[in-house]
Amino acid sequence: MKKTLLGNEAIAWGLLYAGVDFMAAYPGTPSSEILETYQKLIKQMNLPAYAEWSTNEKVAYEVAYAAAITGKRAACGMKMVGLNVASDAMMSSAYIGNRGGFLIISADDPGFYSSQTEQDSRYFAKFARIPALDPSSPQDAFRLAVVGVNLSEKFEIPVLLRPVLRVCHGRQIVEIPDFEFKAKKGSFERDIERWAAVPRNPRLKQGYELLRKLREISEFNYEEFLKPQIEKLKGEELLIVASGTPYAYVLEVLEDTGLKADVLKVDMPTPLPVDRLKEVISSYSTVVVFEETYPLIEEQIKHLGNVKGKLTGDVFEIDEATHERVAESLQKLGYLKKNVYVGKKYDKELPPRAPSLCPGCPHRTVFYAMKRVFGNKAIYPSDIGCYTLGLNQKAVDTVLCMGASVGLACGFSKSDTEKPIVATVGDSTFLHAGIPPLIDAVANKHRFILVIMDNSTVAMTGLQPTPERIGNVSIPKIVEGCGVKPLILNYDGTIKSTLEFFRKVKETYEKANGPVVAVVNEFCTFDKERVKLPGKFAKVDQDKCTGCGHCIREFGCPAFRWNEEGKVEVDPYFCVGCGVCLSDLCPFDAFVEDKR
Amino acid sequence: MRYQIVLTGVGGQGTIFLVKLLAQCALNKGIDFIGTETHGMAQKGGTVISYLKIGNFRAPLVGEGQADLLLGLYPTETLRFLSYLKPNGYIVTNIEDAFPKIEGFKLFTVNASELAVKGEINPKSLNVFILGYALKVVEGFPFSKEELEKAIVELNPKFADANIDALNKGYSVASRL
Repeated sequence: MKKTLLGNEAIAWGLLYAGVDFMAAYPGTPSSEILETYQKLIKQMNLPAYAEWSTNEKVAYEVAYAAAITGKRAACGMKMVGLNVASDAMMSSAYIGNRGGFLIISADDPGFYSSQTEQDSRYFAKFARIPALDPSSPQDAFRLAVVGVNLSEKFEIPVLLRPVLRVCHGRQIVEIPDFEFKAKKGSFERDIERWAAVPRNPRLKQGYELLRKLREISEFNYEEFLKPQIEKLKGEELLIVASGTPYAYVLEVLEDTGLKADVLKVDMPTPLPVDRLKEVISSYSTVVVFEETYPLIEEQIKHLGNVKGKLTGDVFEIDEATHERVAESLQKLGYLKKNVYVGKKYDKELPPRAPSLCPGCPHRTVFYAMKRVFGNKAIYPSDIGCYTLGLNQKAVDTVLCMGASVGLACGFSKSDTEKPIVATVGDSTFLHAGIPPLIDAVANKHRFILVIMDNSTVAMTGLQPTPERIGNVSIPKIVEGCGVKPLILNYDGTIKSTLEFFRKVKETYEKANGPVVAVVNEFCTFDKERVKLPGKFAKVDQDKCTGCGHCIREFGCPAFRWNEEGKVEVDPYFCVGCGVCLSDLCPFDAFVEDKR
Repeated sequence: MRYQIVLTGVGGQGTIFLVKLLAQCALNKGIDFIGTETHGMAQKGGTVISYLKIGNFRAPLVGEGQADLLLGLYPTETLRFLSYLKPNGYIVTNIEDAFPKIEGFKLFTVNASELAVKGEINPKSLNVFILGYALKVVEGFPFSKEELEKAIVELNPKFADANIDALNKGYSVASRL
């Protein structure tokens, strides 16, 4: 059958096609729709399969890996920074291997569209000594997901599938052959030598075994993927070696410009049968490598011939692949006379549209009140989630990685004792990686305030459920278990009570000699089950507005804008009727209700 | 057929729905389709840009200077992504107040936001209204009104009436030009 699918949906279909009956994931853009789709499909088709959102990526990895140990076919999903978290389990599991096929899906984000790094997950595969597959389109992602599961089972080794944003969020008509879904019964078979191998000898033995597997997989890579293509090369002057989406851009650039070149697609950038490639690489006068994001293939083949790429400065080293960038390299190398990918830009300046919290979002009120109580002098460590956008209100000073608001607050409390410290973290991020540093804070008496902004959902990645919602996990009880009794605010949509709450938090902090934790129960405006918007729309009384800018600077609702008279007005198109600005925001009480 | 569209707006306007709609039309006609979308980190109000390539294409993004049509749901965002258009390509955009005169393209503007505030069109169907408008003014648009209506029903039967109504309104407002 043919379907229009996102790359992530195509991967979920690929998993089912390959008989994967167990999947665990932690959400993260651009990977989240994989598990969402997998979950939806097994429900719709009533398939005997299991799917879960795990607490973090390491947990997702371990939960799914256990299923693969019992002989089930399993997969885990995450974004690339999630693989950092899961890497501890990944490194070790590479040695131990699996019985049922085990696919690790790590989605990369070249171009930093919604990530703090541009890291290349394929390097993690090389580091762990497992194979990586690099799809170039949604259709290709379907194919390689299936290949990956089968390869993993055949060699009893975890396999990494690395789709990039443009594959995950690419949309294409995808062909899915008919299939019958067969689940496997899991059965743990005791094998202490294998599953509980300890240093030195049992692990060393597994290390030798891993190297042997890698040599065999490298040969498989040549026979299955590379040789059939090499046999068809036409012997043009230029050879382009490409993997992932750059392969697709290369094909279109050649088509659009009429440039003649041979193209070799690399499906599996590691392990690469380097010796087998020597003959073909050295037979071309020039070989150009296009890949995302780091030069993994290029590093392995650069000594085989006249190889140009990122390392030689001929190909872009950062940011995502585009037609423009591919053509630019080919032009620099003298293969194209001009870059055809130029358009006419609008020549005047446009107002920037910076990311900001949604209209009506409770985070904005919390940041506003927090900032009014603790002022400019305080240090505001924050974390990964929608609330990172509190930086627009200058209520976020640091963003490092999941859970780091708490860890950094611990360190700041001992290294800058002059300033108050107010850290913010979301509920999912706190449960993901914020608990160990809170325990550290209690144990080592780190004095700071931690505000847990609890909307009971993973809002930024598309409202995936959190443990509180699906399992009655209680954040206040966890905090209490760590050794602090939290202060709790049930957000009521007013600045007044939010301010009162933070004044109380401040009093507690002044007397404290360890961490103070505040839990604010909020909602996400997209959360149909819990959203509470009173439908009080706002407008600005133009006679009262002095144009002081307090509301735009300190609160910054996207519905506020400057008009030509230098005063503020509310854009009715963006106002959602939260009513927050109607009291205690404007020093001149200029916001009034717009009765619609 | 080879036809490339760039579609822009701000989060919440339903640009992705239009992508799905056009993809469905391609699927129904047995034509290949590939595309991708970028949305800002915030869900509402951020820049959204989608790339749709109908026909035998391989890569998800549209190259600069290559698009046949730029469909804009929000005026500043239309101007932001002008460079994807090929010379003499079509711009069909929603505007609010004055919109600058742009040389070198076939420019069609409609103040749909005003129509929405006045209650003449449903703000939720502004996206489909602009599509209907484009359908009328763009020569060589890859799908017919009937094909779009069929896809609207297939994609979201619940709101099909409202969307078909908006499509036809856009089409007839453009017919009055």
